[in-house]
Amino acid sequence: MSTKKNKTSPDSVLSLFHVSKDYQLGDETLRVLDDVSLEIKSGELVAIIGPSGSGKSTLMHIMGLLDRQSKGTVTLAGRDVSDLSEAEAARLRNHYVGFIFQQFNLLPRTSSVENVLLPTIYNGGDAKLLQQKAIKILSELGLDQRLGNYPNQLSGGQQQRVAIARALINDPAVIFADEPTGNLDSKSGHEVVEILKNLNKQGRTIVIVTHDPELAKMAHRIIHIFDGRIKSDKRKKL
Amino acid sequence: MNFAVIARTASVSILRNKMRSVLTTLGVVIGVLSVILLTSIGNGLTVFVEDQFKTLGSNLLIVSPGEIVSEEGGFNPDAAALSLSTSKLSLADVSTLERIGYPLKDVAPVIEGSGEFRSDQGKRSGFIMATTPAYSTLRNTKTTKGRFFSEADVSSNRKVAVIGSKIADKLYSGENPVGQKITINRIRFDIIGVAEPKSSGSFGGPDIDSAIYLPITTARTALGFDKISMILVQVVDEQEIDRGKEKIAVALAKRLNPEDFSITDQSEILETIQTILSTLTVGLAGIAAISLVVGGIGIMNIMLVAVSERTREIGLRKALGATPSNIMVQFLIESVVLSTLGGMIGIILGVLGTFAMRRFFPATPALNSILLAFGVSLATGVIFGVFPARKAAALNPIDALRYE
Repeated sequence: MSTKKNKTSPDSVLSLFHVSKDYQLGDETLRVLDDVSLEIKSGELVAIIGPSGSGKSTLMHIMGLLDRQSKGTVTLAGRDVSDLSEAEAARLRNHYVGFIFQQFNLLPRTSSVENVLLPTIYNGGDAKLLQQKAIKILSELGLDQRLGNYPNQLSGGQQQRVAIARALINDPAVIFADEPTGNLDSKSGHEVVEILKNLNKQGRTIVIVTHDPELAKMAHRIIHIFDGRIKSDKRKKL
Repeated sequence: MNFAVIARTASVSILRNKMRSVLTTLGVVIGVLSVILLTSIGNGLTVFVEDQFKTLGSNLLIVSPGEIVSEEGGFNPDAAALSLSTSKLSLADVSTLERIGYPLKDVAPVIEGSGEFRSDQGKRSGFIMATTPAYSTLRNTKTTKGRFFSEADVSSNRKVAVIGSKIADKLYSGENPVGQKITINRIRFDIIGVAEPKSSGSFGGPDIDSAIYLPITTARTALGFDKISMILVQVVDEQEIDRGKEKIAVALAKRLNPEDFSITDQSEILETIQTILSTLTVGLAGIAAISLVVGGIGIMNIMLVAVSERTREIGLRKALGATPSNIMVQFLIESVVLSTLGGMIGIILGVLGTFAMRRFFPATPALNSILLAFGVSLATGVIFGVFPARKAAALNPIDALRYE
């Protein structure tokens, strides 16, 4: 465990200091992440790219508090989250993190609005206000005619938009999108890319994880992961 | 965590698999139904026996011939059967008991027998109770028509009879039997009264409503009855029962050997029967409870299926902020809803079944067994739901999201 003082800049949302992740496979120890340090700042649109097996998913899981690092320190919204209980991690995910998945992961036989409201049942709040908020977000994403539809009545692009609305409902500090266009045709994929760009313009912090260099081009900053290490971390000039 | 929302989530997923939920619930329904039906039978028997004892009259001691009660305190049926035919009790003993006075109130000797009864409408065989007028006070026997026989009827050997309500219905239907004749074993008697019905149904034991009461003296002279079957003695109150027993024993011992008679107190008999019946009820409920356990296993099985079917959903919920206890509560509520739903349906069917059974059997639903059945079905849901729910709560969100 690193004992040195970790410095984060004031606009930092998420930072990793010398984070490593090991998996035990029988007698062998497999190092999936090796001494990764990075900082995501508020309002950034970051793409993490790398081939499969490079450790980018593990990196995203650790940043999203779905997994815990073996070594190093993680801070989220200025708070050290390296050593949380499962319940505490769940509460922080609920408040600070939004997820968009390749498989959409909507609940079947559940309306768009109720799918969007799913994260709110774990933190309470005024049901009426939340419902209005869910409808507003869905409408902004062009789904005002699909509020009561079940996922199987929606196209892939529409389903992913419902999933984006779900990631937004709790106003998270950071949104992770794991291959968000991976299951979509190019037209729907393009729509999703535009939505993510727009959200970033509105000030949302977004981290996209992909193996597709084309998708990564939309980001202002591209972090290239290879063999569990950061190979490059480049910012585009705006 | 919003409890109402999680409860609604559980009911949505139960309704999603209607057939499966119905079949799962059925196990608990059958378990609860059988617990309620079987305890109703046990309970009904107890109530029935208690009612039968109440109709016998209160603070009653029964002096029977021979050693009906063995020295160890148990009932001795062989001796009981033998002693009826070799009864050494006599009318002299009756007078001895009558002379004791306090704490004894009334003394009534009974000779039991059977006979064939004839009227103009037909014939019927039944049970004869030859006794004295004290019997009617002792056993609370009232007449709906006419009167019970008097001391004068007894002392002058009058051929008069008080008939049971069923005999009046069968042999004198549509007529007033009082004032008419009845032939008992070819001897003609005048009917002077009709006894009030004692029990609504008959379940075991002699049917007292089909009996005929005769003066003891007449039965001896006209019908040749002689062995006294028992002497009924009423004590002034409950506290004096033991003293009464003692006085009777001392008085009878002057003429009889201790093995020639025994004195039983109806509360002892009642207690013994109640003990037997409550053991029986518990035993029946225990057997029925086995099916409830099987129902619980059914719930556990289906909940395990639900957990593995919904692994991705669990992973998603966790990723979106559900804590392990949120997930656990969600699945526990689901199993508890299934089991209590089954419990409630079982209770409704059990109570309906009990009332249906009542036409043939004195079954009475017991409130405590209904509450117990509900509690047990709830507990079944919790106990058999905990394992699947913990399994769900322990899932790793990453693995669960990747699960195909």
